[in-house]
Amino acid sequence: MAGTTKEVVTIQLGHYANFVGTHWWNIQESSFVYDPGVCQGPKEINHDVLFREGETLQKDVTYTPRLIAFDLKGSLNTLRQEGTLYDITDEAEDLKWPSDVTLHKVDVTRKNEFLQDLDKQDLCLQQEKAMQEIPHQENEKGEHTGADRGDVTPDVFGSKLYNLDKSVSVWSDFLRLHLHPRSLTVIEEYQYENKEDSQPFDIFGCGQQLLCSNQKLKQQVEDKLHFFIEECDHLQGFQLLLDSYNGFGGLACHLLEDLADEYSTKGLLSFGVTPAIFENSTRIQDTHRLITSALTYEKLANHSSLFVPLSLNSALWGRKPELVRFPHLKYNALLDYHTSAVLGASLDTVTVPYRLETNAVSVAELTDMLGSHGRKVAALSASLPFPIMDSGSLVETLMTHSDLLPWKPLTPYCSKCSMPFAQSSVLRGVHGNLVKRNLAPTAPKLLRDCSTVEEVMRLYLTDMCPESLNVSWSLQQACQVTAPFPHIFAQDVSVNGLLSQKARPDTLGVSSVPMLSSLQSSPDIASLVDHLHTEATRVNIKKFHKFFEAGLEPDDFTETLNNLETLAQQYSTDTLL
Amino acid sequence: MSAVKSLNPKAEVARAAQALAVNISAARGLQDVLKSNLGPKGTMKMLVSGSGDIKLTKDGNVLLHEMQIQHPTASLIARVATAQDDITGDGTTSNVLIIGELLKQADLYISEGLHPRIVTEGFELARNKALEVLEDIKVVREIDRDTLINVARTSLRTKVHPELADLLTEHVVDAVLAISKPDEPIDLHMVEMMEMQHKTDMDTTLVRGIVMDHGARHPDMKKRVENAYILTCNVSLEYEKSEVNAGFFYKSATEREKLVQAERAFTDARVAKIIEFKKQVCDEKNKGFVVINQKGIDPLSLDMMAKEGIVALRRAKRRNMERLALACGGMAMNSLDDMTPECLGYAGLVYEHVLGEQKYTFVEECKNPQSVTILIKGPNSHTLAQIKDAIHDGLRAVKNAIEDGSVIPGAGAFEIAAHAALMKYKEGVKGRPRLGIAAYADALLVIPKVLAQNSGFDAQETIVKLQEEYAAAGQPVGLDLSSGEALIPTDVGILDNYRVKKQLLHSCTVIATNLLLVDEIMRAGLSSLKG
Repeated sequence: MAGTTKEVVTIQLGHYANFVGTHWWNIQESSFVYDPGVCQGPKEINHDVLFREGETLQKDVTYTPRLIAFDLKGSLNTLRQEGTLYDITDEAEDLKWPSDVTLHKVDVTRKNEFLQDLDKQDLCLQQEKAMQEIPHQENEKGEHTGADRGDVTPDVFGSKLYNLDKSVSVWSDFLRLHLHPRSLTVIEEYQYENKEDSQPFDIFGCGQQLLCSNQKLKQQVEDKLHFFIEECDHLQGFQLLLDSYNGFGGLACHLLEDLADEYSTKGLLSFGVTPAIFENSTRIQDTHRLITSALTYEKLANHSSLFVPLSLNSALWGRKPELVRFPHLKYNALLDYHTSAVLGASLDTVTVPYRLETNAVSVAELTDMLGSHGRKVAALSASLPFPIMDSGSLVETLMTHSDLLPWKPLTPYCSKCSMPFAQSSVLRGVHGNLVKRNLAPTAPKLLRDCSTVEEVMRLYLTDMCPESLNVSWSLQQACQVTAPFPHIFAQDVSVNGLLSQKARPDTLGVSSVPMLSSLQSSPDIASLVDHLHTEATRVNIKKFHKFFEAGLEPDDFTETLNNLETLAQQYSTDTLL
Repeated sequence: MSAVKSLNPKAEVARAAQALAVNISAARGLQDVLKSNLGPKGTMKMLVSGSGDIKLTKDGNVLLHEMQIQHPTASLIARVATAQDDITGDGTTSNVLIIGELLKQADLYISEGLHPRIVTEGFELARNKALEVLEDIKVVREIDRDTLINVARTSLRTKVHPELADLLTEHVVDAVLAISKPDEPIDLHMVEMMEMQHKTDMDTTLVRGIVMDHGARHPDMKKRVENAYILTCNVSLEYEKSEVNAGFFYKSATEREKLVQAERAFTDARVAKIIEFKKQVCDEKNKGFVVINQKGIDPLSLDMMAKEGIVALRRAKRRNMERLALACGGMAMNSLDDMTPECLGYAGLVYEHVLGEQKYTFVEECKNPQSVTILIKGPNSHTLAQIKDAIHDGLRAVKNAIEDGSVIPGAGAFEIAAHAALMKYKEGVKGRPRLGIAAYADALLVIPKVLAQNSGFDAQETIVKLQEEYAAAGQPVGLDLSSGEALIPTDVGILDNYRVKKQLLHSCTVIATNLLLVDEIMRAGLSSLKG
């Protein structure tokens, strides 16, 4: 049904998931065009799918993500739980309490350079607005107009180069956009980065019990979900982004079960993320993570329409982390800020099919295509940046990768790159005129006949994966990686994302990159699930009493392991042929 | 040298007197923090986080949740205190105070060489006696509205400022009375609390019906309906793909269109059924018809209904479905096949209120509402949160009073009476446990003492005055916080919950006993063996 936006509600659970999510929202926000005059090219992405338009009590129009994010107490740093967007500029606090009032104030946390500039920008916009409303006051505020405004408003981010690697400790340190006051939910029972004495939120059961034991939280979640869902005219589904290695896994599973029950006909796409490296982790913590992952994966594979596990560590739960290496990226695996950026950019690309302005498919259609025959776990691969030389062409690039698929797997243990059963790939940021520029005459005729990006992609995929069900999309808009995206690109990536012989000067950041991603249902998943199963079987669950305290029965765990085994078999190619 | 040390040299151990000192200092520390909260003259606390989030509270339970308690003993006490709140809805601060004081009093004797076991024996005896006193002192009377008002006011006065407390008192009592049914336990979930950031806290009202925080999503639907039939249902009125995999089996665009139309017709038929039903029941001109659906309603369906003058709300919350049936009558329909006029509810007035991007729908003037809504208003979110916590506690207090069928005179009267009774009882007990009884009796006095201190009076002087008055009057006397003199709490309407006090005596004794009997604290769990 053309002309109607089919909304998607996003749910983020966990600190790392919020890291990834923040990058993702930032990338989307940087591609917004606020001024209708400067619009270049056709509008490709329909942002209304993930964003909502609202209005504050002052009648200001707002545009915020349709998002519910969960995190632990103390994890927000400088961000206020209700944000500042809907703030009412309050008159002095009117306390009517007849006796004493004591004030307990925590030291104000200092905002980093990036956030300070964001505040400045907001202030400028506000002043500008005030100025338009009351023009005659301009003289009094003279010092704020003119120079100040011209400098700061539009290109604060265009020119300035931030280095936030050291100043980012939590995700709100680089959140570029405003969230709706109802978006954030803080779990008060558990403390973020707690000391040894208090309770950690590391067990599947902790999260699972949370919604049962805490009526207040349950009601809060119901109210928030209701707020975002009720206003949707054509709700098409949900996307969940969750930490699959700690208590949030349990919380997500509980929530997902409820959603699946209430909205059975909608698509439920879930992404389980795990950081690449856990610093100073003990064996016990590792095992807790492993068992929790096993329980979470099994539940998610069961209840979501499609579940995609993601991590930059391709040997998750193993002894030593094996990092995914991208040829043109230099990221620091110890920084969640870096690793989550790669995942965030990939998510922004892979979710394009249901966010397109025209010819979008629905979440349910996408998940049905990839999650048929009980294979509800899928793998994600991405190429960041998609390696096109500034003098080269799409066809040429693809031909140099003729024997090897151009992307790297972001799902652990999927590095074999077997032929997928089905895949949905998205190529973005490759302009039409790059298709076959300077094409060598030796190129196959078939390729030379193609004229659009879509045709090339279709041909290429059919050629590379002849047995798969291939669907491909392409869009011209590149992935926006301006601040606060970390500087993880190698020197040979130029400002516009194309590879260049000339090294990019240190003072310049990359502003956008072409990208290729592929969401696939692939036999490799079997090895992922197998690994998880073998590792989890090795654990003597009886030694980990915390799980039983949190409500796990030994039989349930055995059943989980059996289910994982069955799941792995679904992907085995032998039984099919 | 502890045995555990030889196995694990990293283990941290504290023994005997040292262990006791650790526990006592933790309990006293917590006591000091919460001391200033007790009673209607306690200090209000304003907590401002690093990012500027404000929390305004005086409630011990809220404060304990806010504090990041690191000490294991303190967090144990905090957990008991919050459990007290979960069970009875009040008494968190008292709990912490009494536990701290029990340990302090016991310490006096233990430091002189008395074995903790003897003290705890005395505690047990004293608790049993105190429970007897509680039975004696409780006022069994018909729990009428006036009594409930007194109970609710006593609770609310300690949470919010007096004018607001008096306003909320009425609302809270009327709300509970509206939903309570004879011989059935009271389900407080049937009192919905709806927050509205609007006007001031004194505009908080009780709505005898339901307020929902969403409205009709069609511009042509009426904003105000009188004499309305209410149809509550759980039926999807939006176009949905019936076949899961249908997307991939269309041969051509026209075929797809056809399938879409067929599915659309299915939804249309349901809407048509509702419209037909409406025409059937609303034969007169002045009747309205409101549909409240738990599932979705898409714009096309909304349009069809708007044309027929039906107001439709979609995606009602699950918990509101039950409330709607209780408030307006009728029942929630899971299918549209067998609708009869008996299934419909009725409301005299349904109207919409818009506040920024937020819409509210009021369903009012119901015939016999058994579910009501307290509409909380306030200028900012921390005021709303504070009122909400207070109302929650007020509702619990009223519910407790109804279910107990009795009340306890407040203002420290029980503690004074119990102290006197225990001192008398002590004389009849042989041996050293009587010391424990004395400690227990003294510990209970912490409540009136702190009440006096918080109101600016001298603690010792007040206690002596109250004890004299009690001996003379022969009936429970409490402290008048404004004059520092004695008063008869039942006369001025300061009434506490029976079960709160009872739970308090039980849990404080158990925890204090357990803490006293600890003679070794060690930390040698696996988690301290890093690497």
